[in-house]
Amino acid sequence: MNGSAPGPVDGAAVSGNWVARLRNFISVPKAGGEEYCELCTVPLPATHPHLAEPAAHRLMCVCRGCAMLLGGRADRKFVRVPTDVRRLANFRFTNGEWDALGIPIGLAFFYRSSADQRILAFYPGPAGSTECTLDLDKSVHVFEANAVFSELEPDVEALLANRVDGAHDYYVVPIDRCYELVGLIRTQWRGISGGPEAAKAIERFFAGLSQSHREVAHA
Amino acid sequence: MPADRAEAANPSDVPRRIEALIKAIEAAGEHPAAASARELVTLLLDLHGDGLTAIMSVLAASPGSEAIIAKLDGDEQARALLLLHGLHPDDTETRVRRAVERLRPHLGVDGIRIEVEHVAAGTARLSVSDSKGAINGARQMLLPVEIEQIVFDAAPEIERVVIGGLEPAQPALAAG
Repeated sequence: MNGSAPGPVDGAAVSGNWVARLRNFISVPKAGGEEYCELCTVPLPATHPHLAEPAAHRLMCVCRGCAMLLGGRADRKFVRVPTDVRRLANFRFTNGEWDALGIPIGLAFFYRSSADQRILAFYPGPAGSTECTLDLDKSVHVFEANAVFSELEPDVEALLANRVDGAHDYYVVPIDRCYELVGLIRTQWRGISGGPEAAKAIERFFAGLSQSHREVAHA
Repeated sequence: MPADRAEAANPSDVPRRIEALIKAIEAAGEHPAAASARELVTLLLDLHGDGLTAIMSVLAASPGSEAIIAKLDGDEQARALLLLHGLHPDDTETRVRRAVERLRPHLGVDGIRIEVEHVAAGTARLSVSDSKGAINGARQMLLPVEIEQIVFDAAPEIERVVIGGLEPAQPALAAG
């Protein structure tokens, strides 16, 4: 009925913690050390969900179980970061609108902060992300004129603008992708303007984004 | 190995087979086929895990979901899937404590007390105390294995079980 199998894969010496064994088997050892769920401490695979804690302006690496259990809370203490990337075919900042933001490079992301009750703007640079502290009120009309800003899921979705080298690419992305870009730029940045490595990293990032997006024509 | 396939068809044997096959693949060392096997398993697990997470999210948001999830938990195979993908409604520590709770009366008869001290980062720490000197002979060897099995059944994601209070009573054994 259930005798153990003879042969090369004899199951006699098994121990019972098969889930741990399977997870160890598929988790490729990483140079940077293992990541653990910030809520329940189980080891995490390389791709794992993120939860935002809006009140604390915090993003956490979590396991699927915690993301499911806590990411759907009605009080939005924790909010699960979505995975969808949408390219906005019809969205555009005019040069004047962009210049008014006072962002020194051609990259920025905007998200609605539920704690601050407004749209925050950040741009990446050698020291990580910098909040655009210039008077955003001047740009409020841009945000109001574009429905896309009001449709961003607060705290977890961002509008990512790429105007590097004359590009006009705008995406709605999960906020963790913005931090991924910030991290890439911080580690690759050389000198004053970033240098070719940073430029290449930015290019690769947007190429990857283009692969995963779906096109959205926005009115 | 057709005989092996037939063997795996017995559902309660699947976890044992998974462990045995992982051992076999790991024994192959750096063989390219081992890397492919690893990637294949990863992809399949991700596909099923993401789908199952979506299913459970819909379910968790529906009325009466608690009763349905409890029913799923009662099904051996559904439970295995929830455990595998980290989707079980009870966390690791809760399941370990519950399993130890069920074991307690059986050991209590012989004056053996068992406590859960700590469950974190893949390790469950338990302690055993033996007021009547009941842990001797074969039991001294079997008890840790039995406890470990019960913990692993409840929480197969645990990497190791450490049991305090079960150190060998006869140092002579270690000296040989």
